[in-house]
Amino acid sequence: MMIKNSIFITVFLLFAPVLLFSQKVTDSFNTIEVNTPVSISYLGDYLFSKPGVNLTIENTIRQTILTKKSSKIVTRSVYVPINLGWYYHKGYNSAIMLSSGIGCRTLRSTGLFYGSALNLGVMRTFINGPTYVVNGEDISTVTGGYFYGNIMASFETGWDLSKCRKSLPVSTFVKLNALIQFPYNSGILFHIMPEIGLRYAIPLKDKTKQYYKSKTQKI
Amino acid sequence: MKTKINGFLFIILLLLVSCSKEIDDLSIDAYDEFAVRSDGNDMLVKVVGNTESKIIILFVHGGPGEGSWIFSKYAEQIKKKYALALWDQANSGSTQGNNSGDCTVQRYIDDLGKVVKVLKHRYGDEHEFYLMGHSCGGGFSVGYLGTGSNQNDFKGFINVAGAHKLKAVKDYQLIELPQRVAIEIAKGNTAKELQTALDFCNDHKEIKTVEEFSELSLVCAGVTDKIDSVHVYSLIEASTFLGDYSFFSYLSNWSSLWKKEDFIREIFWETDFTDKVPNITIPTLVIWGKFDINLSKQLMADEYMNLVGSTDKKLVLCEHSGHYSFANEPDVFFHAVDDFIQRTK
Repeated sequence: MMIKNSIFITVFLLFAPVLLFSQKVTDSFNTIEVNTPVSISYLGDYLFSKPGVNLTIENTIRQTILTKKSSKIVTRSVYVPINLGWYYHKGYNSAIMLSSGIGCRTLRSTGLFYGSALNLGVMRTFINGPTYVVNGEDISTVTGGYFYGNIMASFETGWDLSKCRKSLPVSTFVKLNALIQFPYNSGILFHIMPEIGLRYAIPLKDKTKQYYKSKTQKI
Repeated sequence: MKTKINGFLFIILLLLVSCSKEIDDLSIDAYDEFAVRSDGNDMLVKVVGNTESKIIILFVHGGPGEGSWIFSKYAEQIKKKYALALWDQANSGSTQGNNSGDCTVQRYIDDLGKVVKVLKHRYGDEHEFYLMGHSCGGGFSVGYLGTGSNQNDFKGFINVAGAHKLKAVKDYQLIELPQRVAIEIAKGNTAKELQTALDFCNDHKEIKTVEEFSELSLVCAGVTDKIDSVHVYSLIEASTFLGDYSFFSYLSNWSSLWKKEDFIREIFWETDFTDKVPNITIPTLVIWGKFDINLSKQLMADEYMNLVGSTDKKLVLCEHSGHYSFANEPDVFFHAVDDFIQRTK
């Protein structure tokens, strides 16, 4: 019963940011062109040693453009990501992970960017071989593995190639994810999951609040 | 007539399917992984090594909560000649679930029975099985073998520093530790761990809490490492973190299991399988480290040898080993196991 409750709460919290921020978007007064970044990456559990893949789609909810005295422009974005990941760990398990949360990213005029995100999600593990259930003399098989909740903190850096060539709306990035899986038996389980991947900015019309700031004036 | 033939063929097919083993491909370098479900846990079992030998050694690890990874690391010679079934017990090693279930000694013994059944189901009757239990896992193995007809599933039992009288472990450590420290100091050993051990023994005439027991076990291991005659082995390497085994799962399970005070107290304050030992009549090999302070040979192994019901029984003393003889002296360990299996298979 406790597990069911915790999974329900986890699922609710998982989509809470999406519900929360979609409200804000409809209140916005500026309609502008904002890209919707979609990324694909190699996700390696335990420091790249266990192969996996991650797909992320981001909904940008706020962008702040800072113009410095040197006329360099820094763009700060706040976004809601939805992540769908998978990994395979020989001798242990494989897992599908779905998570969402909130992230922020700072993009410099040179194309260098860095950021962080916090995600909450659910995951389903699968045992790599058959899982047997023994009842007296009867032996049957079931789908092995269980549902878990997870919390993931991510730190990323990368290069926005569109700053070099406008026609190339692609970024490369590396990301370090620290994931906590719970409840793991009667405790928690840490994962360190680095990612390396490409992000493509799909040009979509979006309603997002955008602010222009300079040292002296707010437009 | 045709219907009769079809019916006959169907029955033959049904019999073949229902009686057949699941693993037909035998190999000198086999790798087979599966799980056995136990009360909210999927317990991982890996069968590795030479399945062509048609001899499978089921390893029951110690701890509790240790997992089979330490033994697997030092069992390369055994894997070349025989198959090893490496089982991670409930809430141990790579075993996983979102609910630990009730932790009791009886559950762990019942789980061993489930793993035996699945192994026999998966590999068929033409394989011969040996049971090998280490430390606390040796105690669980005695509890299993000494009950009913469980031992009939095995050709022999390899007891590696196994504690049949689990409730006496802490008391035996308190007896063995100061004696060993006195011998080492007399030999001129000046390691600071020896003084720490003496201080601990002076402060603790009786072990009353799980925390004290855990500390005592670590002190024993620390002193063992400082004995010159004991061969050193390395436990943690890069491969420990990045290999197939989930080391983080082991760490999580180990720390969580030792927080279950009721379970730890049941094992080390209440459990005693002494009455089961005479029931064991299958060939028995006992392997012990001469410098095992965690589980004294004089106090535990000698009693076991006197009580065990087997007529075919042998004690091998590893001259340069502590509690982990398979890691301290893998060659000696392998030859002892190999001789025993060749003689009894």
